[in-house]
Amino acid sequence: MKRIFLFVLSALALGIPALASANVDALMQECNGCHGDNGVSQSSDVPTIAGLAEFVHVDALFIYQDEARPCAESEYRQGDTSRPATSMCAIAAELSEDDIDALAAAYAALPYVKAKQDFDADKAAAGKDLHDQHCDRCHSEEGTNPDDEAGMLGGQQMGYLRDTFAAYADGSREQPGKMQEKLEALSADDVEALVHYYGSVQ
Amino acid sequence: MTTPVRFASLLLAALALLFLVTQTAHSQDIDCGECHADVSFTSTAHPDLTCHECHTNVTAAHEDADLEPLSDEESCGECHASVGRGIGRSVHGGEAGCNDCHGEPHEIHEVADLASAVSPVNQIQSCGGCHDDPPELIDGYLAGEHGKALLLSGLIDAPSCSDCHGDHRIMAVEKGRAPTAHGNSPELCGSCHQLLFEDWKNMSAHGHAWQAEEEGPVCVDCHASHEIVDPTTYNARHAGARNCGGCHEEYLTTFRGSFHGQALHLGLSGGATCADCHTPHKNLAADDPASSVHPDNVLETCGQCHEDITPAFATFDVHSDPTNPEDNFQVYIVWLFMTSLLIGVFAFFGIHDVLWLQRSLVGVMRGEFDEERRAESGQWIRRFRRRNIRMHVVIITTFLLLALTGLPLKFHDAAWAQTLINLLGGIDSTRFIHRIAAIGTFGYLLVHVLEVLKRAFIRGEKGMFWGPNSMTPQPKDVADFFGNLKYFLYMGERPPGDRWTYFEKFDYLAVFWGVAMIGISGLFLWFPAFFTSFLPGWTLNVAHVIHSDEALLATGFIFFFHFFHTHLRPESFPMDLVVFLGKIPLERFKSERPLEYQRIVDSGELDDYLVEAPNKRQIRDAYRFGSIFLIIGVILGVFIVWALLTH
Repeated sequence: MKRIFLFVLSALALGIPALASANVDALMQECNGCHGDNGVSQSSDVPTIAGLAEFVHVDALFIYQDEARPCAESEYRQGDTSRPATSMCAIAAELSEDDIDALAAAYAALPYVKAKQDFDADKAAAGKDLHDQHCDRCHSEEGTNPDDEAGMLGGQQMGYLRDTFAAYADGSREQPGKMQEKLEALSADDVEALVHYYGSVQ
Repeated sequence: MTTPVRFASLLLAALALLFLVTQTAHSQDIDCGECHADVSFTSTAHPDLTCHECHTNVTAAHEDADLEPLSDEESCGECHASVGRGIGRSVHGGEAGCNDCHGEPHEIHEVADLASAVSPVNQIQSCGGCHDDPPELIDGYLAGEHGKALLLSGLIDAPSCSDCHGDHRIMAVEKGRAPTAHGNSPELCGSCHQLLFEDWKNMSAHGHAWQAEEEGPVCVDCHASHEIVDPTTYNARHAGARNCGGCHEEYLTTFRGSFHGQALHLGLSGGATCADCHTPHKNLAADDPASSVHPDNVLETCGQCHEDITPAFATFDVHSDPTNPEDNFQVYIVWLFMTSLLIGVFAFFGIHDVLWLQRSLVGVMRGEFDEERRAESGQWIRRFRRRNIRMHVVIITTFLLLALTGLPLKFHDAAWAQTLINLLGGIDSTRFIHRIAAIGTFGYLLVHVLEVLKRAFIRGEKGMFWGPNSMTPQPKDVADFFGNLKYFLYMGERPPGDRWTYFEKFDYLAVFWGVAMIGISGLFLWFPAFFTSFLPGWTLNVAHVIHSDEALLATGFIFFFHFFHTHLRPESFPMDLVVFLGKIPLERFKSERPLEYQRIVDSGELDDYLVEAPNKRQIRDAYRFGSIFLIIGVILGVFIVWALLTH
């Protein structure tokens, strides 16, 4: 059911360039200024957003609109880097619901490209055990299955993952109660092991 | 450490541990089943969950506590937090909770499990529990192809509610981004019907309009959204024409006026409808070289049903408007002529017969016809031979059969048309009867013509083509016509009649005209491929106009004017039986046809003409026979007027 639905959504996404105005393309150009061409990030602290579930995109953008998630200021990474620094909250505030839907569909349709990153093999091995034990149920297939409608972990930028773990830990970002229980049980070494594991998925 | 200190530490630790553990009603420590033995947990989606993981507000002390019901956020949201946010932003926000769709919490099955409340087969009940108004939503879906594919054919990949509407983020249909929004219908339907979507998108005018974001129909406009019927059934194809006609009004009108439209309306399941010629998903304007109705391609299109056709066949104008001279000038001229003839004949005889009717009524009341009606002498004189009587019966039978089977087609949207067709056994049976009766008509015409020729040229009978016994119109007829008018207007006596009066001659000669016109045009319609192998396609359009208009002329004339002239005049009331008996009372004959009577008397042949009076049985049979046919004719006459008034 989900697959069919996602396929429908992907088909819709494919149709968007034909249907929607050039607005989506213009918006995507904006987003890619930090998130990289085709939404594949080249910066360690900025996540790859291509290929994530449409639902996750929409959810994230709405949460940013509510400023219920940390939104650090950041310079543009590519394109016209002279543009002033901005944050996800500021960007989301400018988006209409239709923009959010359109962007989400567009990025969800793009392929998820795992980042090529350096990682520590031992830490990655320890991280794999932790993942399989505690995280795999919701972040299946090494955390790369968009059908889970949870964040993509495997192959995601490691710097961003570290920041996210920290945000969960200090409570500045909301998480499901079940996840909170599990994260609170992790040590700092466990978190680092997980980050290296996800970085090792290439 | 000393032993007592060690022991105290351990004891303290144990107590602390016990204290900690008893503060949480972890099911490993509290056996929920001890009190809640009746709760069965059969959820396949959450097989490893413990009670506390959902019932987050249960503590050890809950036996005495008044527990508030948990919100979805507090129970399901412990894991599925983002889903709750998504639902909140959808049309179900504040309206439906997790369990409204996913079922009882202790029985939540995995979505892929067919037993799940949100599995394709169960969604109808789950969603339909709230969305049962209008009934078309659920009942329509169940009766439609998607519902049948799912529930009758067992195809679990057939679309159910969530396939089109989404699951957690269902948006209102009016919202432009909703998958079910009008403009998104092609992609939504096309996600399964990929080949059709490709065809429609690239090869149809509607698809081009959609791609250009212009107004135009999409899938749901023709196929509906919930009650999607099989488009190949007769009912769907018939309704399809109305659907297309919603925008293409003038084409619907001309289609309805054509044979395809008429016959389809009456149940001819093989009759062509819009999609048959224009294709369902590749419809293009006729000037597009790729269009199925482009002049270069239309022969192949017609050839789907019509075998052995030539290019001229394909030049027949399916959407002909005979009243428009720009459409086809030849057809227009024919239509103009036929309509003028109709109006002229009906006006002429209408006035004539109304005047006659009032004069006859007055005459009856004055007793002018008493003597001939009394017929005191009891003598009868022969007027028609047996072969004439039989011929007339054949004419009546074939004519009424043609009228019964033909008028419903002409007036196919009249209230009585479908019922009459059904009484005749359906449209196919009706067509068959019509053609048999047509053959009968050609037959009697041929027999009669041969008989006339035999009498004139083989037997050398005199006076057949000129003279008082001839059907040829002569100066006396003109004089009698004006004489009759004067008589109707109380300005003179009734002109003395001879063997054939002018209106009887008209009745007779009109049959030649009628059979020729309607017969030849009928042959064109029966064998269109043959005739267009040497004639242009517009001759079929002309044939259609002639056949249809002449049918109205012939039936209208017979049922109103002929019936009046020969059977229902007040002086003949209730019915003139002469054509069934072949004889009339002598008094009547003397009164109506004094010139013929005098001629017979002068020639000394009166005795040859005098015959036995008919007996009671013969008169009764003649009345019965005549009445049946008169009544059928009158009913059809009423039907014609009814149809013309409600057109």
